[in-house]
Amino acid sequence: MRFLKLLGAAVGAAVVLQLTGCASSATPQAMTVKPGSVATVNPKLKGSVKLGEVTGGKATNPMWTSQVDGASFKKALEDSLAISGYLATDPAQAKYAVSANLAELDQPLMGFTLDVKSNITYKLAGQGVARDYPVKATGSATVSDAFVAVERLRLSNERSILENIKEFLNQLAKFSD
Amino acid sequence: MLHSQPRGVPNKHEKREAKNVCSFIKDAYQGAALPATRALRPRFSGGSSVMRLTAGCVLGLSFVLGGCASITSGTTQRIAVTAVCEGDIVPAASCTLSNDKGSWQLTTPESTLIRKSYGELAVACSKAQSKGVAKFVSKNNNGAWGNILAGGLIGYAVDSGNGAGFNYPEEVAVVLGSPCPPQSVSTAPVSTTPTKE
Repeated sequence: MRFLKLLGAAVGAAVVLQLTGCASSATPQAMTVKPGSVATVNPKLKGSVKLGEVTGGKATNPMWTSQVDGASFKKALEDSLAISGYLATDPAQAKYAVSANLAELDQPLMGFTLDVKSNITYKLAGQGVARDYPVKATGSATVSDAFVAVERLRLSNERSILENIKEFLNQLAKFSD
Repeated sequence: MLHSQPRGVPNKHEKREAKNVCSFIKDAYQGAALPATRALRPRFSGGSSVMRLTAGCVLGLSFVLGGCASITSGTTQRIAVTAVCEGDIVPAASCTLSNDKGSWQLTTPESTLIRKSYGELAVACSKAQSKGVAKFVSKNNNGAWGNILAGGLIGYAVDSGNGAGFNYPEEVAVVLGSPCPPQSVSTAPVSTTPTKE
């Protein structure tokens, strides 16, 4: 009887931990592309891009679900552009500006494998060019990545944004006037 | 049958139980062991029941105080650093990694073992005239959550104090400023782009 009570308490604690826990925001470093993970830098844009307006994203409420806030997304995009060689050392000398709008982060309510879909519209403008790049990407995390659901959701968010930025950089590599 | 016993006041049976527990502890402390320990005494001739009790308590406390992450993931982590300049990988850049637990040095593209911490990790790299700094935050790992599952708030405090409950990213990149040093290598995937001499 006592064993059953203990077992029930342990299962209850595990369920509570799965469903609750303090949610933390996505980190910029986990959403930043790694060197060598995207296509070669476009010579037309190399060192001549500055980051413009970045909108969208949501702040994380620790008692609710993990989100991607605008500042973290902006930092990840800026660092990714810098690592890929697009960002101008002096923004005043930049020929092009990249702006972005994190329009949607489609998150599942629950599950063992969490798939998060991100919908971001990037814009490249300058030198008589104004081009939109709507990009959709999916990021997943499983129980083996993180046992706790809120942590798993944070990983899914980060991976979704990372894949989205990667795809945008791959499209930038194909850019021509 | 109605019980007139007020709440919080022990009845006769509870008082007797408490007395038994007290005498158990007293007996154990004085070495006048219980039947079970007395039966074990010939086999463990090296120590008294007090010593065994103390050893048991220490062992039990070590599990509670140790913290999940301290046991499962340790207090150190290997981190690889890549330096890039204008999209090209810079080999042989000198880097210093530092947090509130210490500082470590390496030459890219090597990796080094650092002490983990709750605080952020600063990575400063340089080669020739080119320099760059980047900062990275640590995040809770599974061991820290394990403390909550096991009800070990003390364990969580231990893991937070020694850094075992947190992880930095395993690979970090530092962007170096212009002018880029010579002999940089293109960052593009090997299959699509030849390296620059």
